[in-house]
Formats: sequence, structure tokens, C-alpha cells
Amino acid sequence: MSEPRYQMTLHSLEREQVTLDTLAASANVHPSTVECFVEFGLLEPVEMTGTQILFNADCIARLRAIVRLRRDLGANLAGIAVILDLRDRLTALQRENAWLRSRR
Amino acid sequence: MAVQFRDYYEVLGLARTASVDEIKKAYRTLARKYHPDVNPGDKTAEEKFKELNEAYAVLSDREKRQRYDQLGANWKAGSDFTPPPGWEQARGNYQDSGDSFGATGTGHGGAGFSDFFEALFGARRGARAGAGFAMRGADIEAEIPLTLEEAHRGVKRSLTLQGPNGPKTLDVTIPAGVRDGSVIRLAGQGEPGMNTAPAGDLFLHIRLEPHPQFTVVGEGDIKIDLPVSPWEAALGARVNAPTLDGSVEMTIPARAQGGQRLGLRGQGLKQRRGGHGDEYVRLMIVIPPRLTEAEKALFAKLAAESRFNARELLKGGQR
Repeated sequence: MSEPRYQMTLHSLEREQVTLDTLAASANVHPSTVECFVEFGLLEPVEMTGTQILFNADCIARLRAIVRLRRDLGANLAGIAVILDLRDRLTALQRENAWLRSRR
Repeated sequence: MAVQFRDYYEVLGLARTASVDEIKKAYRTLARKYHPDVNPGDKTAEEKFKELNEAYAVLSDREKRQRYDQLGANWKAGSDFTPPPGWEQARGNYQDSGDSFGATGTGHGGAGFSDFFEALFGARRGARAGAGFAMRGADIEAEIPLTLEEAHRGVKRSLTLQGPNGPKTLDVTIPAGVRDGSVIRLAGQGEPGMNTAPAGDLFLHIRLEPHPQFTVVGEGDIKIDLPVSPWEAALGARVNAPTLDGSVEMTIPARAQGGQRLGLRGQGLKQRRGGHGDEYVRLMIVIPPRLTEAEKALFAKLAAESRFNARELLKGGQR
């Protein structure tokens, strides 16, 4: 049996943006919790116009990671900030490393 | 049904006599080390973390630990295991304690415990369902590496994902104009949720691979170092400069200097909203790696003839 195939074209290459409420709902947390994370610098909105706060869609994955790190490791917000920053650097280094190896 | 025995003490690196505090400490140390969010893209860490959670769910619960210890110390991890006679009746009503530290699953790929766990303590899934538990499927983060040319022209990529009914393939058409770091979310295309929970999302991260010749500058411009010979630079020339679409002929002005930048309008990356960025060419004056006798003689003649002292162009004047 062959695998099912789906065709899709990515038209919306503009970075998808989500509201504070949508973002909060995506990780099952209260919007005020998300606001708290923003104040702490864990999440960065792309736009704050009046009452509207907008985030890039990749904040959804980041928010879910924050929630997991808090729940699974009992890490506090400062700890989570460090973990996420180090993880980003690790990913960048891994990518660079893979690229350098592939050139040999 | 035979299942594989799991040595929960071994998983946590503990002796069977370990105290409650020791168990907690071992779990926390290892959870930090193997947490999937701390080990991006590492499948073995994710598996290890699942094992840890299962071991901790049993050993941190007094009743479950007692039942597990009744099996005795003679089992080896990985050996075929059948619950001893009389075990079934003793199973009783298993309800998860809902311990908030670890035992609630991780949100990473099928949080269900092993068949061994279920043989001992009953199906966790069932117990969870009874308690109204449903867990969102894990997000999948996939990286799509593209060459500059692919980002410029647009490209088709096939991604194979694990769905609830086996693997499925997504043929993704990426139109021209994507940039490094673009994130595209495909809602509901992540791993399936437990019970009635929604599936996770699929995040596609567009990554532009470094190009051997071009560097991206700003939003859509590219730059390239173009080698030219000393006489091309001195006398001016028409040369072919590589572009993302092939090459174009460009004019090197007479008396061009090394490091001088020339612009090729509209030869940069295709823009999302139409139009193109620009290409910047930096001239690199290069000497032939090997000189023929005739070339050497000509250079010698030039050296004898020219009154030019290159040090006159020292920045800040000559010392």
C-alpha cells in the first residue's frame, strides 16, 4: 500500500501572525500568563498596536515549550529563558557544524 | 501476551533500596538532561525521557513501587515478562495520581507508557480517559533547507510525516521569494492527539543554505566577490558575472580598483511582492597563479616603465 500524498502550495509566505488570545489558547494557558511571559522577555510580540498584540506563529511552538519546561522540570522563568537561549544557540551551532562537515 | 521487562531502577541509575528522596533527585537530574526541549531533534533523548517518566511514575508512587518490587530482583531488562499468577485480580482500580511533576506526560509523541507498564498497572490510556484526560498531539518542527537558487525560483519539496494511520507525504510547493527564517505553520499537521484532543501543528522553518558564491544582504540583495585580472582592471573590460539566473555581461570601468563595488540592478533575489533585489559585485584583482616567461617579462617591463608607487594610496597618507 502506498502512502497517501497531499499536495499543498504555500501561498501565505507572509509570516502568519496570531493574537494574544489565540496564542494563549494554543497552549491552554490564560492570556495573562502569556502577558507575564512577554514581560519576562520569553516571548516577543511583533506588533503592539493599541490593544492588539500580535505574535509570529513560531511563538506557538515556543510557548508550548515554555509550558512543558515549567511542568516537566519545574524550571522558573529565568531558567526557561536561559534554556531557550542556549537551545537556540545549540541549534545554530549544530546547523553550522553539519554544513561545515558536508563541505569536506 | 509477552512483554519486555523494564528495570525501572536501572533506568534511574538507582539501587533497589533507594530512598524516596534519592528517586526524586535521580529523576530530576536525568529529566533535565534528557528533556526533549533541551535536546532539539534528538530522538534517543526523547525515548529516554519517556522511559524516565514511566520509571518515575512507578517508583515515586508508594503503592505502585510496592507492586513492582513484588516481582523480585531476578528480572533482567528486556527479557520476556508475563505477570505472575494472581496478578490480574490484584490489579484493582488504577487511577493515576496526576502528579504534576513529570508523570503527566510530556506532550512529546505518544505519551502512553510501555506494554510492560500496562501489563502491571492496567492501561493508562483507559484510566486517563475515565478522568477526562485528553492531550494535544506534539508539534513537529521540520527544517526545509533551500539553496539560494531554490528560494529565488521557487521549489517543490516532499515531506514524509508520521500520521495516525501510518506515514503520509506532503508535497509542498514553495513559491519564489521565501527568506531565511520564515516559519510556516500547518495547523493540525503535527502528531495526533490522545483521545479526543486535537493534533499538534507542523512548523516548517525555511533555512537558506550558505551559497559558495553569493551572500544575502538585507531583504533581497546579494553580493559576490568577482575576480578580475590586473589588465582588465586597468584597461576596463566586458566580463561575465554570475547571477542567480545564470550570468550577465557587465562592464568593468577602466582603472577599476580592487574592492570596488559595482551594482547590477534587479539581479538579486526575487521579492515576495514582485520585483527583484540587486546584486553587488566586489572586484578582486587577482594575479595569475602561474606566470609564463612572456607574462613575467611583460610585468617586468611594466615595473620598469611605471612611475606608480602603490604606497601613495596608503590610507591616511604615507609614513
